[in-house]
Amino acid sequence: MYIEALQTKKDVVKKQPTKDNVILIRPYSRSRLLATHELLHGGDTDIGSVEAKARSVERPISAREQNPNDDDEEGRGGRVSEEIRIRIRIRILNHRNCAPCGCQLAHAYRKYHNTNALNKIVPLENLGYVKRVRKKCQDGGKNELSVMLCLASEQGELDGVPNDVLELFKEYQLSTFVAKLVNAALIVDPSIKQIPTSSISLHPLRHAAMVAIGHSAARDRLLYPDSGHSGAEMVDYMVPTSTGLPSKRQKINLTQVAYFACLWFLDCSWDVPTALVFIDYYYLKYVFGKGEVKISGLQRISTKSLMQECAMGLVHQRVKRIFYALPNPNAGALGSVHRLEGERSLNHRYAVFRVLLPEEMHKDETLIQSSTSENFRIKI
Amino acid sequence: MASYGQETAPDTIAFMNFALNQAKLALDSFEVPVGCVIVSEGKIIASGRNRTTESRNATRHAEMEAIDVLLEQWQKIGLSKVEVAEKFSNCILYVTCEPCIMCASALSILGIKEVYYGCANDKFGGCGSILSLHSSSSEQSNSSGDHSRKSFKCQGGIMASDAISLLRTFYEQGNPNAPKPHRPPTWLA
Repeated sequence: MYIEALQTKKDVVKKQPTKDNVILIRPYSRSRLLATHELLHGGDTDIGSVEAKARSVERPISAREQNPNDDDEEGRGGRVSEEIRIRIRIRILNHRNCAPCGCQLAHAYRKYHNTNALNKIVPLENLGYVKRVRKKCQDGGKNELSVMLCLASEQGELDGVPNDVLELFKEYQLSTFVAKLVNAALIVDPSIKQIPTSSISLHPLRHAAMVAIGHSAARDRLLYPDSGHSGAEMVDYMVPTSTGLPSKRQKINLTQVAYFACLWFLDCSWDVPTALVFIDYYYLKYVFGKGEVKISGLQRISTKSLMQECAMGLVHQRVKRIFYALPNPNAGALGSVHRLEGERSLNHRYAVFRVLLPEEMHKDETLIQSSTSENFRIKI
Repeated sequence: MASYGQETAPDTIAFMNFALNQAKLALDSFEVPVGCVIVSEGKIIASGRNRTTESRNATRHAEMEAIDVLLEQWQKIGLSKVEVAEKFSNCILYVTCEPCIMCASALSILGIKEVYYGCANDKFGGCGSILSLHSSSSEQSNSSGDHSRKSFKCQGGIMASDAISLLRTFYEQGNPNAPKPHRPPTWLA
């Protein structure tokens, strides 16, 4: 299983669909880069400078010039489904030196492709929002493309596959696989103590997780003052599948997007640099309107395995999934010292994933500061 | 496991009564009735009660509330990390229900001196019921930002029946904010 990062925006190709479009993949990355940057740093970023940076770290994108009308942006959210399987993966955002916020977005982001065309040729009912074409960078600089074509059936890989899709397989000699559709996830670069910590006082217990829980609760109160909606309900909240189809394009207000998903903090407890992100699909739904997003509760990502305090706090808050990068041999509560996620008496359990970092990052304790690697796998 | 049935000092009873009062305050505002007081040199220097419903933050337990009060005070007067740790090492916590894993972990990070609690918490108690964080200190610390934790003395079963009856009152009237239970809450019966 792979996890895809940042399923929030996409570039849409306004071209008549042809059969070729199905597997014709063009990278568009600049607007994604900007969107991601805004997501992380708020809407008032100086876009010009980010663009400049983006160009300097990215190859020039010729496809973009060929299709100048590709600026439409459409919101996309993650979604859980039992039946649909696609391939997903994670990327890390590394930002260090770019003006004006002292960061650099060093990575290209996932490329969005020709989903609309694909939806017309091989429609997937009720799943129009899912990104169906994906590119995976492999070791050695080769790219692997994958296209989600149809629902997988329980019996076997090719059972129940429509005939026209089977033809596609043959025509393009596609190798098929079954993947699982998972919610989007997000990793953020921690490292940096000089970002917005100035106003936060030191507090021995204010670990990133606890701060994040506090913020998400505060935001909860702000967003849903009357609903009594709480993190606990968030976990169970499911939007009924709607008939919303991809033809319905929604312009996404970027500042909203920036606001919505990730509250990201530095750990302001004594001497532990950690950062994490909460993703609240309930709010994604709130922003994007009906049918666009299915919800599965809060998820969080941190770079370090959590200690008991944080891990238990997240149990209390009914977080659904946790991703972490580095084990914490002294105090880790997710497998290192204790295994809270396997504690039977607790009244809530989350799924815990370890994100495998590339070799070179292990060597460097300051890790994410110097990371330029972009491929992350999740080991399940 | 924390020790039960020891001779309970009158001081302890008195302070636990204050904690129970806090729990009643919580009950009055439809919170899970758990309350606590922190005592230093024979004086109550902070108190707290559950605020999980009000704040929609499930980590706002009585202990965390009280700790935050203290830390805020001490940071205002500009105490350093070492001084704060020193202060905590003279503090005694009285809480009506066994600190959960999160709170117990927090208490051991802070290096509190002693903890007295009422009823045990067999679902997520961190002072003996599920984990025993009060008795496990980590020696290897301070490297790459890990926190040292200290063990602390812990005694349970102080006025436990009062604490339980408060909890029972609360759950009998139903907890409107509880998530859908995975199983019926028979553990109280």
